[in-house]
Parts: sequence; C-alpha cells; structure tokens
Amino acid sequence: MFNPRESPARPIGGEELSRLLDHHRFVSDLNMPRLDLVGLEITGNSFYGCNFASVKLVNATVAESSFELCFFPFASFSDVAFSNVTIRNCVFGASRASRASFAGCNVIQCNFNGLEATDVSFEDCDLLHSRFNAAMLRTVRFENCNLKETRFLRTPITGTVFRYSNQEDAVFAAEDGW
Amino acid sequence: MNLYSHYSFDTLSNSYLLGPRAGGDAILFDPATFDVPLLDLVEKQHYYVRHVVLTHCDDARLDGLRTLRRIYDCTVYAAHATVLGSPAIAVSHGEVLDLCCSPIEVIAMPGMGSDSVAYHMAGFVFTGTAMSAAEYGSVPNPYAKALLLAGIRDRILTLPEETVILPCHGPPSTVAVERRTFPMEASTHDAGLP
Repeated sequence: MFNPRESPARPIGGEELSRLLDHHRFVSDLNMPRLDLVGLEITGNSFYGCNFASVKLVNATVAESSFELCFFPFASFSDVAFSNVTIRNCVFGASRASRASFAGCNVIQCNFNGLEATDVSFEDCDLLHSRFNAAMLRTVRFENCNLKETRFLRTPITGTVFRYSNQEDAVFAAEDGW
Repeated sequence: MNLYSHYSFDTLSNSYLLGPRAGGDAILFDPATFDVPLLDLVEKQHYYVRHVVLTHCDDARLDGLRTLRRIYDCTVYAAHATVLGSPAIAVSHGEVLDLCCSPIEVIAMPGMGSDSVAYHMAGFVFTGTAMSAAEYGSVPNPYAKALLLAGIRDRILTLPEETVILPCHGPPSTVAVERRTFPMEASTHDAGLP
C-alpha cells in the first residue's frame, strides 16, 4: 500500500508508463499523483494499493486488468473505455468523467461520490456496494447492471437511464445514518 | 507496511490487516468475521495476528474475534475493558498505542456511544461504524447526530487531506474527498454545539 505521508514519485509520461507496465504486470504501492496521460492502453495489468490522485486520462483504453485499493480522487477521465476490468475498493471521489464507458466490469465497493459525469455508460457491470452519493450525473446510463446496495444519496437521477438493472435494490434515500 | 482489506459478505463489513512487508506480527482491525479467505490472507503473508484493534464493541459484529482467539494469542484493544466477556486493553481519546507498525492515535467518536473510537496511523484513519464515504453512522437521536457530525468535522476532516479513510462499511475515501462530499449539515448548530 502506498504511504500517504511519503513524498509522491515524480509523474512520468505515457510512453514511459507504457514501458513500465509492459515489464511489470503487477504494480503495487505506487504513489504517483498528477499524471497527465493521453492515448494510454492498459491491458492485462494488476494494480494494488496505488495512488493516482488527480490523474488526467484522455483517449485511453483499459482492458482485462484489475485495480484494488487504488486511489483516483479528483481525477479527470475523457474518452476512456474500461472493458472487462475488476475494480475493488477504489476511490474515484470528486472526479470528472466525460464520454467514458465501463463494459463488463466488476466495480465492487468503489467510491464515486461527488462524481461529475457526462455521457458515461455502465453496461453489463456489477456495481455491488459502490457509491455515487452527491454526484452530478448527466446522460449517464446503467444497462444490465447489478445495483445491489449501490447508493445514490443526494444525487439527482432525472435523466439517468436504468435499463435491465435491478434499480429496486439500489438506495436513493436513507434515513439518518445507515 | 502492507495493508490488506477483507470484505465479509456475511456482515457486509470490512476488516483491515496491517503488517510489516517481511511478515511477522500484524494488526487486525474489526474482525467481524474470521473466515477461510481471511485466514489464508494472514498465513500467506506470514503474519501472526498479535493485536486486534476494535473501533466498536458491538457483540453482534465481533463474531470473528471468537474464532480468532482460538487461533492466535492476541491482545485486544477497544474502548471498553471487556469485549465478548474477555479482558481487553481499554483505550481513550488522545492515547497513542505503540504496536508493531507505527504509532496509533486513538480518536473518540462522540455520538456513536462510549464504545466508538477511530484510529489514526501513518496517513490512514480507521473510522469504524462512525463514518464512511459521504455517510455517517446510525445514531439514536438528533443530539447524538450533532455530536457525531461535530466529531467528524473537528477530528477527522481536520486531518491532512491526503489521509486515507478506511471505514467498517462501504468503500474507502480520503479526507480531501470527504471535505467535498460529506453531508455536514447545520445540525451541530441546531443542537447548540459550537
């Protein structure tokens, strides 16, 4: 697990990161906030306990990979496609996403609170116990998704499409506390 | 230091295992269950659970502790001196525990009851049932809620912004994200608190 108190590593460029990921399929404990990455392709990598706070990811694809206890707070995702990716216990809080897609992904117990999402789709995804509290969802689609205990507290869902998903198992309002 | 998260589908809660990279004595936070996957995790990392640290003393959420005590000779740290009928080392607000990895500061979480504490160590804060990502724990009345929210505001959200929040229920977060998304209401003022 990265140490939040240690000075972060110097951000590196997309080509350098691609070379690193080619040689190291399993990456852990990396503390590298403020990456600025365009056109990155990640396939077949596993990440554990990494910090990518404030990452800017543009025109990227992430496939057949896994992320656990990884942190992407205050990140920006634009034209990013996640497919067949397992994401567990990760933080995307206070991030922005536009034209992003998640297809066939397991997004288990992840934090999307405060997310500002525009034109984002989740298709065939398991979103068990993930949270979208206090988020702004514009043109967001959940299709054929498991929404068991997925929480949308204080999030307006007008205009959000839930299709073939168990919306009745999601939580949109709660009494004080939980 | 290595940190591992374990999710129990029985109790829908998280436990956290902390230990040195090379194996050895480890700390287990809030073992709601102690099942085979968690045992595998401990053993594969060559850990011995020497210390069990509890953020609450709710018997119904501590079944794992019964199992754990049969396997490991561990010391339990909690806000109360007795847990599940066995002695524990009672901790109090402001105390610093010196266990195997790093000093651990005890933070009382008023409003959740006298048995509720959080622990802050090395850039991580274990908030137990008092606080999770953009939500707070269940409290019995508005005054308790006001106390809890004031405690979260003054004791958790004042930690350095990069501090990682690891709750008993739900996903992790960071202090910076919670400052943006936590529902800090006016109820502290309503209850006459500063």
